Amino acid sequence: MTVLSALKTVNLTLDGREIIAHEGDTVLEAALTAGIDIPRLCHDPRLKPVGACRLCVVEIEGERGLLTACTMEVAEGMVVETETDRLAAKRKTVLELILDDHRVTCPTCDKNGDCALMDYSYRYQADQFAFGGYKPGPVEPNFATGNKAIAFDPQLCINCGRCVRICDEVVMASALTFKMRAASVEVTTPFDMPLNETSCVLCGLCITTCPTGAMYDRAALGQGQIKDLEKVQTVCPYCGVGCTIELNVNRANNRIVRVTSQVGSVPNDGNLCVKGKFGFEYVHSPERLTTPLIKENGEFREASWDEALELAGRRLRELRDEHGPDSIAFLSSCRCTNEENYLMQKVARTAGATNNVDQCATTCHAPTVAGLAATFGSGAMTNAIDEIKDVDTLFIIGSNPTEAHPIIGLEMKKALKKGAKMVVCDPRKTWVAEHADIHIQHKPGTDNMLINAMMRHILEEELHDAEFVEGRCENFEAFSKNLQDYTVAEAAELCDVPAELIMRAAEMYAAGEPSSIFYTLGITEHTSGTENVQNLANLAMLCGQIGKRSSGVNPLRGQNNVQGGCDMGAMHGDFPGYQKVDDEVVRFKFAEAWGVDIPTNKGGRVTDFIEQAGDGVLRGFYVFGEDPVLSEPNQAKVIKSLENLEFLVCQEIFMSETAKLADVILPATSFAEKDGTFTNTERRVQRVRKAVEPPGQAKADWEIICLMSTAMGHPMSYDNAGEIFDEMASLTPSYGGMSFERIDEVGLQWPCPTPDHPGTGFLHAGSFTRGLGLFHEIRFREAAELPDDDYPYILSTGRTLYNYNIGNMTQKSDAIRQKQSKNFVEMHASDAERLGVANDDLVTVTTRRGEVTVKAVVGDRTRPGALWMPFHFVDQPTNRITNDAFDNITRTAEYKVCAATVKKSAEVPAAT
Amino acid sequence: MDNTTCIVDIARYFIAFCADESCGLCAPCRLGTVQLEEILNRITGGKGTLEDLDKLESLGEVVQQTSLCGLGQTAPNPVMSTLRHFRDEYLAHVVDKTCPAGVCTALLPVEVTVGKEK
Repeated sequence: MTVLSALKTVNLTLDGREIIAHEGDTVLEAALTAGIDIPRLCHDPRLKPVGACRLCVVEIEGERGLLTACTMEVAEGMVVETETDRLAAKRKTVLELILDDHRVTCPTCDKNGDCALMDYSYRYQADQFAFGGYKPGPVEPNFATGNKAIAFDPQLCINCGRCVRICDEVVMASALTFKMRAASVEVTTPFDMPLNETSCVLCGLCITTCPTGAMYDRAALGQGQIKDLEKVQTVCPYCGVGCTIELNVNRANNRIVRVTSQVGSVPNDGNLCVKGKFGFEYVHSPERLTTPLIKENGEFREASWDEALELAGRRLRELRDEHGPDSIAFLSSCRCTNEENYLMQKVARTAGATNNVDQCATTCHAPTVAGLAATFGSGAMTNAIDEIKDVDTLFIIGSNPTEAHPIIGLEMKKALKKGAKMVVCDPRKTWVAEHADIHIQHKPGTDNMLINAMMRHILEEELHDAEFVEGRCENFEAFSKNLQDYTVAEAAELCDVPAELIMRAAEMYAAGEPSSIFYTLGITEHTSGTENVQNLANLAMLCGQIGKRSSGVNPLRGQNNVQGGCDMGAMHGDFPGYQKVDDEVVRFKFAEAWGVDIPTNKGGRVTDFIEQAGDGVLRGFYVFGEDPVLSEPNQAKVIKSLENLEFLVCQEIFMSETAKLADVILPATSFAEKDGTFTNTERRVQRVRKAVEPPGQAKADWEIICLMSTAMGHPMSYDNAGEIFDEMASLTPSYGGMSFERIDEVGLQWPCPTPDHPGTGFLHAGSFTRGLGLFHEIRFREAAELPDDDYPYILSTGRTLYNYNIGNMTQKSDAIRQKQSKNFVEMHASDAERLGVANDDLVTVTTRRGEVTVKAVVGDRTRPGALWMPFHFVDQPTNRITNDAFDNITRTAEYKVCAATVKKSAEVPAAT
Repeated sequence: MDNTTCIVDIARYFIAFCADESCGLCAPCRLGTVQLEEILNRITGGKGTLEDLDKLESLGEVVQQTSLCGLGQTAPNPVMSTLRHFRDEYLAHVVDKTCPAGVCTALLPVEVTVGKEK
């Protein structure tokens, strides 16, 4: 429902009740809002109404015959009867027809108790034998046979078409279709292809919309009916979108059986992606760590909590006392809760007496935090996710939302369906690139050349918002002078894209009503990452495309709680809420609250920690829920550096590659085993709830951090996560008005400074957080390592849809492993042909730092001369070969550009 | 059409045509036309009951009134109008187990032919 139509209302009578409905609502929507439950099987509010099941027929005064409530719009003075004897008789017969075509297996059906067909059959007392009863034929294999994610039983299917429509309308994957016609109609894939060979993205929305048990989670079959399952509402542990999910827990065996999500949930409206739907098996993996471990003579042995904590706490404290605040460091975890990140930085600054604390934002979006804070005063996504559908021009650069942030991808698809235009700047042909009005496939690492040229063109053509620039921004003179050094012609040459496209893209962005910028790591993971971000902010300010609904600069954050990890001050220079450590007043506030002197050392970032470990400056390292050996560039150097540490303690749920190097490992908990909050990419603080008991002796991370603090000589204890949240909120103005009570159902978006504040959907309305928006003069700088004769290709790395980060969570899922379990390299067909490489051949990709041998995926997704690899795999890890060159401001590595070479491998591909 | 045409068989023919032509989108048309056809098959096959006639009428009405498009809404018309105007022929099939027009083979009198084998 749009804001506009919300203003216009219609009066009608439903079952004798006077109802006020919104203009444009259907009779069904009006009835449901009024609490009148009209039966329906083919309806899903996410889909266009189709009127297929005919159960929602109603009587409307003055209309001939019966009309379906789902397709009929309300009108002034309309008089509707939704439940008469005549309607009940018709519905009963329709249900009996459906039951005659549906194998009634309720006792053994997983959907028993949660089945719309069952509910309505009971309501209208439909007789399954009214027409003789279903006569099952032989069970034939179908498109989902053997698929480990999705099971399909055509004998349970009532052909309502919801799965086909949701795959088409919402996901736009069009992997499902109907074959045949009349009574032979059947849901299948194009040409009955196996599901994993189609365009299916395994989001499982077909399952979530299915009104019967026809589509179901394969792994959940036989694991409990609704009566056996308890639904625990929490937040998805993958990516920054922060989808609200329900863990369906079977209490009898303390196991998560499946994941569901309710239509209407925020921000995902019941939609999930493959990771959220099928990526939870890691919680119950037999590989989980269950006891503390201490390394002795190179081997781990089991230890008691007391022993492990005493050793870890004592050693860190000894190193700190002996060698000073820069000799120990704390790496917090953005996969964990706000409470835990708050405690980690608190422990660093109290028990550890050092500002050496960081989290994974340095690996990904630190340039966002730094760049946007310098420009606007606030380093976060400016708009809300539910505003995306109303964007007129989507400007997407260095971002692959349909894979890395699939639910935001779905919101963009909504905008496209409403007629939005889309500009995509990406060296790779992603889904959004292929569906864009303009795709600028520029050379990796040339973003600032491109953006400068676009802004120069906008200024020359006077397409900018002079009033906005004049009234809301500063430093425009110097900024525009800087642009004089950049022309569209030069950019076209250097970026290797047609000048015409650059100009048209600039015009399309400037003209959008409104336009909004979306970017991800294609912008930040460069040696010029912060400058890239600042230049996008320049572009938005120049065109006045910020500070309003559906318009702004939107970094899509990577890890589930990387926004929260930054918000909580797990950074060397910031306390919670980006309050500066070097601000005397702030330091005094925290010193008072925590009862310690706040350390004054400058502190560093994770990439500094690793280098300092190698140099022998850093001696003790507390790594919590991260695996830098796999996630940081130039793996050999990372391992060598970490091996040089005197003491490494890892708090982990798995024996990660980094944990293997540790002296002590503390067994931790997954998101499903503890309470707390995550903050998603749109600044929404959401409740994470404990659903199952942790394995073995594993403890909630916030408890472990308290125990570590105590073991380091600074006693710390809390009764529960809510108590930690309250302490944090009392010290953090932007979270000041929040409590577990207030964020219980849908969360709140910061800033939310007072208990009566409703939260903030979009930032910078009227003025910027810092007052005036600051234009920066950004010079184009080349990437640190450019291709040459020895290494003629440009290698970029990134995420795929099916895996997450270093893969240790997603790769535990059978469904995901079946789809994608091995590393690969994408290369252009022209390069492959020249090298004699065919699709699926093994190739060796070599850089100055090492080599990996992986399968080639040959096609046209990359530019000629460019290679692309995911970084999700332990075997043949991509970060063995990436470049440890860093952003000049935030020390974020240049994962998106390094020089590489590739050749066909002599190895024979292993059978898969 | 004349008195050599079986009206029940005609109704069966039309509903079979519509059942086959149904696009399958809406439930009453996709499934209801098939059930109507099956009942008529039963009747023309000599296995019909009086209850089947009631069922034809009530189901036919549901299909007419609840189907999505003109195909389903009109598919039962031949059944419904013949039931109204030629009920005696239906009764002949159901009660007397005969087909007055001599079309429904299952209801034809059995002829026993005696003769020499060639």
